Amino acid sequence: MNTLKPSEEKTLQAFLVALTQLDRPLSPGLQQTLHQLGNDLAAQHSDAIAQLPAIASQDPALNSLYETARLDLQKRYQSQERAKGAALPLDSPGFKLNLENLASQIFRETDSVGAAQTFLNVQTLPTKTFQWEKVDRILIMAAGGAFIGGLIAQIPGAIIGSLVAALYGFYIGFAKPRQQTPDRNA
Amino acid sequence: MNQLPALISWGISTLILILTNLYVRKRRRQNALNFEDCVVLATSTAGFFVGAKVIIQAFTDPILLQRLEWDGAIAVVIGGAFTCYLAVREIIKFFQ
Repeated sequence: MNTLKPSEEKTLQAFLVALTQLDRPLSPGLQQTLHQLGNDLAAQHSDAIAQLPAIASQDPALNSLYETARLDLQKRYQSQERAKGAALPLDSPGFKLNLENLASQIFRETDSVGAAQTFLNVQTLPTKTFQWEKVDRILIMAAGGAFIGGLIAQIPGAIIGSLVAALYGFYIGFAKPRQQTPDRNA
Repeated sequence: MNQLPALISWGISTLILILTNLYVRKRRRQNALNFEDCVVLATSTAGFFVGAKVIIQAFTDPILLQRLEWDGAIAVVIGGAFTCYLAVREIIKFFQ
């Protein structure tokens, strides 16, 4: 196996983390695409990993998890510190050596989500950091909503704007149902 | 803060941020912002305005300073700075 570039390594790790966090299997079409990518990875096609973001974007829930994981990994790379609650052994040298092999194997399974959770021995990932970030977002959205509402309709507007923005922040952060969209490749 | 200029400033700032973000993401071949991202970006920008306004008022409004006294003023400034920090952090996330 070739040595992965840091950006490729990050993309692959983020995608695997996203797979472990998904609470349902992938759609058949997406699974088929991933299977093909697993074959490409095994055959050491150089552009295989670059296709992962596009694959993730075909499933909104997977894409959201992928983006979150990618940002989290980026932060960890930048600060050179381990995420305190991370249960994934993504940083161990042995894991990095086998990352491409492991990903290829997971992608070629009939249920990549289940395989990722089994291979990586993860049932529930630490989401404490993510939760707090969502709370931060709700707070700042409430403040912003108050500003906009206040400009439009003074004090009542500020109160309503703040509430609406906070509720919307809560909805997109916590309450939004993860929907399975029809696969574009199907 | 006068309402119309403030609304226009906020609208222009948000528009610039969204357009810049779209350009950056296009160059990086990342997914474009969706509606939710735009709402978060817009409210975060507004949140930054709130924080900045609080800090400016705490330093420049003599009546507010008189009522709050120095300890209250420091607390208000810290609150405003924290709001600005959270807003900037939310905005930066979209550019990562």
